[in-house]
Amino acid sequence: MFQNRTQIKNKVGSNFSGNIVLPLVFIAVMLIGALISPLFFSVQNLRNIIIGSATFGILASGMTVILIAGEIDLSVGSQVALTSVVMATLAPRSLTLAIFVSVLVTVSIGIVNGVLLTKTKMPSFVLTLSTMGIVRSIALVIGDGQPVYGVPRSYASLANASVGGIPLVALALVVIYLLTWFFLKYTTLGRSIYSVGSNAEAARLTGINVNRIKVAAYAISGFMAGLAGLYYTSYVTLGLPDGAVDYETEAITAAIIGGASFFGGEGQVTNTLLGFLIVAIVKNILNLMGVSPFVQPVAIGLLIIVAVGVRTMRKS
Amino acid sequence: MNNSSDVRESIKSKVPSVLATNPRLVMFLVLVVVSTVLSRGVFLSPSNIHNMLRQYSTIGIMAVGQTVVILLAGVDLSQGSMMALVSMVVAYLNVNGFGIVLPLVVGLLVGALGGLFSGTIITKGKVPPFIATLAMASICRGLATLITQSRPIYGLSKELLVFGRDTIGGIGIQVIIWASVGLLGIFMITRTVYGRGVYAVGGNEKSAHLSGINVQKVKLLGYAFSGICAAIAAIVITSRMDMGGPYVNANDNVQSIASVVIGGTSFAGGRGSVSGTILGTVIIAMINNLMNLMLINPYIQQGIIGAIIVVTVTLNQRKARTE
Repeated sequence: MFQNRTQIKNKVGSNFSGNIVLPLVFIAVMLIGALISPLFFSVQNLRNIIIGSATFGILASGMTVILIAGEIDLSVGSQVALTSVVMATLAPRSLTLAIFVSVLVTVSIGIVNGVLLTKTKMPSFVLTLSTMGIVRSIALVIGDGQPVYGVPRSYASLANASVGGIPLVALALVVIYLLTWFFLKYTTLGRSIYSVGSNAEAARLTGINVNRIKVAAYAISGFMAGLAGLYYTSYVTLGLPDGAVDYETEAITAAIIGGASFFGGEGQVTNTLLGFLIVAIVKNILNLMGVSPFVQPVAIGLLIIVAVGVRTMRKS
Repeated sequence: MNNSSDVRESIKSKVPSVLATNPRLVMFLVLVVVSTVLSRGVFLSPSNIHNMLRQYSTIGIMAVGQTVVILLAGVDLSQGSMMALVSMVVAYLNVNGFGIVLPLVVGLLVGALGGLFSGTIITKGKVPPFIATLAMASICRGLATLITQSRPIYGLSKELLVFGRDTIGGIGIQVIIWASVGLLGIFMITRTVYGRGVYAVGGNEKSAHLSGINVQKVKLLGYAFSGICAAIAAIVITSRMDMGGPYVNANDNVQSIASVVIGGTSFAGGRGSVSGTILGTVIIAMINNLMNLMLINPYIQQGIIGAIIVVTVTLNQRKARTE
């Protein structure tokens, strides 16, 4: 019966929330933006939206993979902060080394998350809430609680760089989402993540090594957190051990608005991209309207509730 | 003569078994000994113990509420932000001439309503508790900073400061509040119909429903209680800091969960106790106290709490599996 329900959920999810509603919502928020301010469609504003939100965009693609696997990763915000500290510490010596070590560190954190999860069988939100604190501690100890300077100016300018008028990071986002989409759809590992997330027991019976798949999903989440951290470092131009707080909430919001479910097995990274853009545009609209930036977390919280609530109502 | 040796024998045979079944107690005793030795007795001084209890009373109060929602197989990730929001609401009303009683009542109401709101999303919207309360945390954090554009509120009236600063018979009022909330929690969970409902719903929701328990109501009240506990903790911390603080350490929420976990309550729901949680908070207080005595970098401390959660949950689950 439970199997049936997840199958139905899969179908409903892909037929409705994915294909029609989401693009409509996306167009609607764009229109609202245009109506609210003539500045909305200006090149400068669109650039600002992407450059200001890209960190969340990268995190959201990794979060989608984790949600499809039926788990959650609350430690990605701390991982972004740790990456910025590692980058700021090592980049003065060698930029290549710094980038390499940063991504190695976050992938390792992901693997540790995955191994601990599969070995201890504890709920993933408890585990990653704990590793969130541990990773944050490491960042604070390395930076001694202070911002770390030393990011080369050339690297810091990358966040604002453009190719033919299009922000470099927008192209990077397209590449990241295309690769994740391809990975989830056309590789064995990607498809296994779906089957493990929708029914771990059934996946096990078909010969999938469930534990290994979960570890892989966390490694991917760590990898994406590393990439997000690399961009974040360039964006804020320094290492911030106490930065990127609550970034995981925004990544989760984007994935959920895009139709990923907490029960696993469901979600498309292309829809997450739309979800991410919707959140970024809503925040931008609030800014253009002159609403206090402190309203943004309230809006994010309400968006999560509305997105999940609407989906639940449609299903029942 | 014979009798007393019998008693001694039975105590001897019972002590190891009590310790074996209660790892918290072992942890507690080991910490007492280690702390006493390392601090050359300072640890056991009444003033050190009293200070420690005063400092951790806010986390202790939150943890009592957290126990109830975790017993319900849920979790409340919004307690820390709720604490910030209530702190700002109470301080704002107090400095704007609404006296003492009204701010306190409104503060408690905000906590209760916030909890009811999370509970409604969880029960009616079928949203997993950690997502619903994560969303709630975001909302509360936004509202808390919105009140004054994230500036702290100073200049509270003197009467408001009693909760975090005064003593009765040498004992800090916040410690008395913690003890009262703890006793209320113990009573509620072990001696009332509601408490039996909590264990039933947390243990097996379906069979609880089939045996005529109003599952939704039990859950709603659980989250409301957690919100009220966060509000009480907020009143204490506002009073202790003499200000309304829009940024309360997010780590407090983790420590509240850690107290529950160390206290032996299972995330699967239906197993655990409030008394265990109270001991859990005391253990966390002692660990932090010990780290301070050993001059360990304070930045490491939240990492250590995280590591303790992982280790404790792992051990608890091992134990549950072998049983």
